[in-house]
Amino acid sequence: MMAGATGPWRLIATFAGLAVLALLPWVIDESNLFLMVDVLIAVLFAMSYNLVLGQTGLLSFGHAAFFGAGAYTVALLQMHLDLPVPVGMVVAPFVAGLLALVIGFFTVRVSGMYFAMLTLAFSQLVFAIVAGWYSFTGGDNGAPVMPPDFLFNTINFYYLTLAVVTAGIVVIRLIVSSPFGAALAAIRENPQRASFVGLNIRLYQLAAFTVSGALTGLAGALRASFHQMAFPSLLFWPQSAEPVLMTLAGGMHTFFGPAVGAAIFTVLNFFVASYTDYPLFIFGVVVLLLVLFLPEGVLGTILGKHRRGWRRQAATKPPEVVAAAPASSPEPAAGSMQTVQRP
Amino acid sequence: MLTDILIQLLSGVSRGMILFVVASGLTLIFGVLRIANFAHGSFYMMAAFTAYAVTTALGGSDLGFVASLVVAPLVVAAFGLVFEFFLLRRIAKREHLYQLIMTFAATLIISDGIKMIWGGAYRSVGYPPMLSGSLDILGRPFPAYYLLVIILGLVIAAGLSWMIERTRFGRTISAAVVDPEMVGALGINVPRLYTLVFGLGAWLAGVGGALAAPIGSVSLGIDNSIIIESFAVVIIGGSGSIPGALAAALIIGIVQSLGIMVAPRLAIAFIFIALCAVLLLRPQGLLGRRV
Repeated sequence: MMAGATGPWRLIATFAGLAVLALLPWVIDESNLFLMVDVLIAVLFAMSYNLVLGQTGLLSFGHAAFFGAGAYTVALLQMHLDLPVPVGMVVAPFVAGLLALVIGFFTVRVSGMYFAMLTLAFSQLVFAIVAGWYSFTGGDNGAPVMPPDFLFNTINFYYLTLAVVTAGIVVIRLIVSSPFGAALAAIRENPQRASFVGLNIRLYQLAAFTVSGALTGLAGALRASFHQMAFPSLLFWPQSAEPVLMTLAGGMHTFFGPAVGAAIFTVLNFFVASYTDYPLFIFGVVVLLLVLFLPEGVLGTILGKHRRGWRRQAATKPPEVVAAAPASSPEPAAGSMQTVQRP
Repeated sequence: MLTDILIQLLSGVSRGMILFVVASGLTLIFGVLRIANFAHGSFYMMAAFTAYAVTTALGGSDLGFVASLVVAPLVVAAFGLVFEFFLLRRIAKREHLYQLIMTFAATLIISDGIKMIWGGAYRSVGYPPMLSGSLDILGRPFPAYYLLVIILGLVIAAGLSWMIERTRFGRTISAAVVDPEMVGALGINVPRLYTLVFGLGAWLAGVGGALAAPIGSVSLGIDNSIIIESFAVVIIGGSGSIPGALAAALIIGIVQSLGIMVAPRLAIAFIFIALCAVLLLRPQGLLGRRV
């Protein structure tokens, strides 16, 4: 998938984007940089999530559990064992991944809407335990996080986040383009056929769910360290809806779609929350309009048009199409595929 | 001690009955339309607030209670019909994910909509005067209102079973639970069936909300716990199954009430132990059909 006509341009665009992000602290002021850290964390959250939704075709409504698990790992390791925040950040994905493995063990037995309801139910269980267990987690009051001195600086934290999120995205990219990723896509497209060619569907789904949960935990760890607090609301079910909405807004059938959606939602949330008393209402209407009029998401729609245009041009030169077709076939082409969601 | 358990058991049954009424609507919608309706908890909350408004307008009288029990579910049913007809139906041909997200958008809009109308303060609706007393059960008081809830829950369970077994509409529903495509092929107007079932489901959520209003506080956020418990009922009971929903809701209500005696904060965990057991042993639910 790195091959094909878009390969070099994609690479150049990626590095250009990274360069812009690296130079950002010299361009924008601190309050905007603060918002950018939140955007980057949301990007990692949404892109990890899309490993399950866009890549594997599983509609999880319980990712808040993993986000919160990562956040609380940092907080609780510091609170009870006096371990510094960076250690917590390293441990967080493992704890979140383990939790995902356990929840996944029960939930991948069912599919479609059942899977959505079950993951939601399990994440609410985790929420109830965390919110209720005052002596261990601090309950409703949350658990404080004291980052080391060098992370109090917003610019330093920004670079740390940029590095971690970039690494996370590289991992996701490697997974998506690996044979494992191809198997996940096969399961999404046609579970029955995938099982006939010998794939152990549940095992693959569980693996994808676990990896996605681990990376989500990493995002949660960043979140708790940045806001110096882990709250039960990080595990509450509206938090689970966030990556779903971001992914949908950006386009779940494109690699960077969830990132675009995450940026849109985080920035929108920032402005809506400061200008109105009824942010949920505005969000609800935005989501409603997205579902009705932009089902492929922002990036999905842009790339979809672009691709269709490119295909039409290519169609005038038949030999190239034949040559290009196998190279581009594992790429999740926007608009041309359907996620299997029906139970 | 034994009487304590009996009283807890009875209040668990009444709690389970409200859950059953709400979740029966969810399981019908899930069984027929194949959508996990996130807005179901919001419908319940909307009904509770409407019941509060109606009861207060009539001065907290018995008439006010009866009126709220009639009006609130109808308001919610009307909302559900409109929502299905104008929004869900528009995207019926797309992946179910989008409909799920649309119901989620509805929860956000309803939540802030209620805040706009009634504000964020806690409200309470008292028991209706004629049911404000309590019964004497082995020397312990038991609220008379809980008994009404249990009786009404049984009436609704019987009514739904009768409808599904004996009426044409009900037979169509149970056929659609098994095979929606075949129902369409037999010449049934499927979109209209979807709208009606969604309206019926919303009505049931409304009855649950109106019944629950005098028991707990009426406040923003009461949608959260009921929706999770209702999902648990659908999974444990089996999609589209009314008897399954009744059994599951009673199990959850009783387990929670008894769990509160043992470990108050972790009562919710008991539901999940039941949930996991069902999933491992019978993934299709207690009384569901294997899909």
